[in-house]
Amino acid sequence: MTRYILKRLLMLIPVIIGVVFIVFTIERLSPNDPIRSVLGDMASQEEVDAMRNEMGLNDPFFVQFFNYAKGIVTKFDFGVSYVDRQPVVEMIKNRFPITLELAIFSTILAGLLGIPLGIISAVKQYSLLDNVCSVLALVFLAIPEFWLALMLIIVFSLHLKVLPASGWYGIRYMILPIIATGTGCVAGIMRTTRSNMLEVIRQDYIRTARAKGLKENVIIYKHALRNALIPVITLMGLQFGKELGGVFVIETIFAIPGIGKMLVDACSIKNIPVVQGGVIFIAVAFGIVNLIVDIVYGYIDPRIFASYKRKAKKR
Amino acid sequence: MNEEKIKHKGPFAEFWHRLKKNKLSLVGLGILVFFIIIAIFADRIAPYGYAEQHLDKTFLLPCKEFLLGTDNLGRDIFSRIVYGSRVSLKIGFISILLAITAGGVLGCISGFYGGVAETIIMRIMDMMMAIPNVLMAIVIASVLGTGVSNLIIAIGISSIPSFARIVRASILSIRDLEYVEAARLSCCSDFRIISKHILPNIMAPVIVQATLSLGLAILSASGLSFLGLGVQAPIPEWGAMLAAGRSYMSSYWHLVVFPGCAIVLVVLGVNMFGDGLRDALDPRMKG
Repeated sequence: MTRYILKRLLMLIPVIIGVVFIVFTIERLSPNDPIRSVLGDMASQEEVDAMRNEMGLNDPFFVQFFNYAKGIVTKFDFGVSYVDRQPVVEMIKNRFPITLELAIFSTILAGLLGIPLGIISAVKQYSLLDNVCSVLALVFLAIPEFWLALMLIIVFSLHLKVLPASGWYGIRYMILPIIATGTGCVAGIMRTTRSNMLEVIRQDYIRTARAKGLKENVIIYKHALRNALIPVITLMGLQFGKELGGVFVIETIFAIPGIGKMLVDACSIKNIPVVQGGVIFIAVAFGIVNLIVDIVYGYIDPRIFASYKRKAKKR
Repeated sequence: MNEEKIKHKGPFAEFWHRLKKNKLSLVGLGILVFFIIIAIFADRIAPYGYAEQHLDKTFLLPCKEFLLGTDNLGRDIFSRIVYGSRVSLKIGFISILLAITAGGVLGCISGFYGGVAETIIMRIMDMMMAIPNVLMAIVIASVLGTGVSNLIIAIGISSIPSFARIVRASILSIRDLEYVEAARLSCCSDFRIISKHILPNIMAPVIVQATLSLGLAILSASGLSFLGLGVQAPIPEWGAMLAAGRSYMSSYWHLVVFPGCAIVLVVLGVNMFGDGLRDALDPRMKG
């Protein structure tokens, strides 16, 4: 198992190097001078030139890339923000906990609602509840989360005045953003749980369990659910990974100082070091979440671990 | 009724027959066609021009003269939504077309030839997939600058990897089948084998992926425009309309409700149609 995790972590390295290179290249393709865009039109050409020199933007492309990569590897230095010269690592460190909270809570919401609804829909297929849930899931998957956020603000903040519409200072501030990000995930998870449950409960071993005279609850929750959960866990992991990267629009609407808002702000003024650092951080987080998901598989379905061991022995 | 015709009409009729059984997907197709018609005839359907201002009639609630009310510059929201369908559908269709073409070529090369080309292409795709789609689109859009065509490029590029993967995987599954071997033995060129023998047989998953990606593309386009990284005023993009209406939504709800409904309706239609297509074209792919 440790070998497997180590191998996966090693496999992340080339991907990260590639991501650094891709982002670095894309950012250098910009037709406009980023320094000009950060300093504004009022700045004199001398100021712009001085800052370009300071940030090393006049060096050849590969020298810039090499210096950047060297900074990351040797000093864990992702450069400084063009705007206030704050180190990018510090910025990410300050903002990540907030994004993490949002991601954890909305994933929990999605799992707590989506999985039971999916199970019930599958068990009572074609019932009224199943039909209502399926239609609602389709509709919620089509709703852009930023529009849902606006509607929630109109109803709960502007008219009922029960919940705040911006900031991130405590539980009350979290409710609307969590609902706005989580609802789409609830729908996705519900649909995946339902379709997988439907597939599993038609299999022979479930019929065997019924024939043994087991209680329906035991059959569903102990025998069927474990096999049906694997794709659901994948989906939840994917969602969680995406949310770790910041829910760009939601964080912007609710003025939540997380990674997503940082990236959107940085993108709109071409604050390149922040964009680069943020994207690399997200890619790493995404990779690690995927690895954790694969490990969780093993605990839900022991056959997966067994097959790793067999492969390792063959070698 | 159609049973006899099916026997003579071949695969498309059979597919249509299966699709017809799925009521939801027909509704979805209907919604999609409805919006396509609106987009084509936008200038006839819309009572006003999309940039036409009525400065004495700002912030009107829905009424007879202005079906869905007017915005802060007195522009008719209904007309702007109608014209907006052109922008959203255009961005959605062209960006997916771009992604299919590029992803298809890359997928064909890596699936058909294998070897070094496959390794390089697929590793690059892995790297692109390590960055979430929306983030990729945001980064590319911010570098290219705002505008419809840049938005199309940004969304198109960020959806390339999923198509490259699907095409490659499908080609791998049929590359060594007998009929491909036979085509090779009869001295067909590689291009002919790929275009005449392989591509028609892997279209099903690609079409399904394309439909489902179309919904996502429309959502991303409106999201990016909402953030100010996409389509700019006065072009009536639904996401941009929401962003503009946001400042006034405390007193005028209609500015943000209707453009959002349009997005929901289109994406709902596309998704419902996509689900039906998936069931009709490829019963094994369930999700």
